[in-house]
Amino acid sequence: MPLCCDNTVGGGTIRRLGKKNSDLAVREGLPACFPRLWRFCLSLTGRRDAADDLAQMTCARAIEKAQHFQPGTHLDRWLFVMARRFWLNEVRRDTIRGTEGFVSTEDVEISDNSAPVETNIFARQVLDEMNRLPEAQRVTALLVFVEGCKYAEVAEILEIPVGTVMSRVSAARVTLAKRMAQATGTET
Amino acid sequence: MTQSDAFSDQDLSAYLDGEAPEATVRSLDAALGRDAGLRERLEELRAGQGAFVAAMETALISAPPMPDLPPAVDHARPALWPVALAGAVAGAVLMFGVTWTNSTPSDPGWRAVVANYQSLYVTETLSKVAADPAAQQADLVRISAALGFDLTELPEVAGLSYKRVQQLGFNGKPLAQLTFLAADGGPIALCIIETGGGTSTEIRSEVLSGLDTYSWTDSGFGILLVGPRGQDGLENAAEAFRAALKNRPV
Repeated sequence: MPLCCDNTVGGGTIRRLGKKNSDLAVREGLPACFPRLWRFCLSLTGRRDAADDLAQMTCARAIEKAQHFQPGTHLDRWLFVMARRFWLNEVRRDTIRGTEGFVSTEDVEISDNSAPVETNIFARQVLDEMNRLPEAQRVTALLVFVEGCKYAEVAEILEIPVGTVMSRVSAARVTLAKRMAQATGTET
Repeated sequence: MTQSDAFSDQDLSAYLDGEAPEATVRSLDAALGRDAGLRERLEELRAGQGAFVAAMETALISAPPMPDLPPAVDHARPALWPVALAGAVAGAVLMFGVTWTNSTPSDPGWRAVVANYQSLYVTETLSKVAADPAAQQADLVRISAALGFDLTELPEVAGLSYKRVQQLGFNGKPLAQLTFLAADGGPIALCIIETGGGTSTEIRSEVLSGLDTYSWTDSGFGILLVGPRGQDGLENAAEAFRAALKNRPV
């Protein structure tokens, strides 16, 4: 069920004005948005550990900046924009520096040792599937295919032109279709 | 050419997302009724995303628990905001100073400054510029020499009419600004400055100052095409300029 476009927070239940209202709307909305925020971070980073850190930092930043959130608007998109800027401006550099560039899925620690075995198997499958696409395409694909965003909404979140969204979505589809053809042996 | 080839992957992809223009939807609907190959291509593109979507849905159950949030600030208390504001202002002034003194043409700075300047352009800025081909060419010769980049043979780009070239400057380096009007009146600028470095492998697209921008580097020069948000054909125009303005240092 696409949530990107109908997940507004605070509009119906919170009518008080001012900073406290914004702070409350962010605090109340975060738990429902968090798993999807983390997934968005996973698509940005391509790594579980970096996604955990990025999602956590985004939550802290969201509370700091809560007065800028307008109750009644889309908290999820506001968090996505924040996570993406955080990633581009501050975190990615350190992550790349720390690992001397991105490494293949097989080489990084993707398991959460405290999680049940089944969850870890899921995590590996998720990352393998996701990392079939380069970063820019997989983030765009997540927003369009999974979150159900319109191209114009994706352009707002990623701060890129609509034409670029269109070409990234198309490139992602072509890559995924080729992979499937290879996997099923139907490639001509 | 079969009907299947008449539609690009991008057409089909936009169609699947309900984002294709109406005319494309009509012609695709008609072609899909007749062309089994086209139906197959569309189905392959649709099916390819299935595993990705399934994996992303699965990802949600792997999400860690939400971290504890810092406690709420009591806004009723006397606020420290005047102090914080003073600190922020001081910080901003310091940042500004650092940015201003340190930015070189290879920083993103020049693209942001150019886009900011371009945001003041309206159709009327350029629609009244008198077109005198001889004078236009003389300006291009002069600015090519100042810039060290040959602009004397500008490509014809579909949908854009050339208006004028101006010499601007950034951090003491000459910056050429060529302006065009799109068919629908959108003011477009192509800006070039020496940045050092090599040739980029792809075009970078960004929204700066509310404008669509496409930038790349070629043989040590940074090149930026900027126009209104959502301007039709701007990405194609960037590709055309990039192909035509290769290896032009003089």
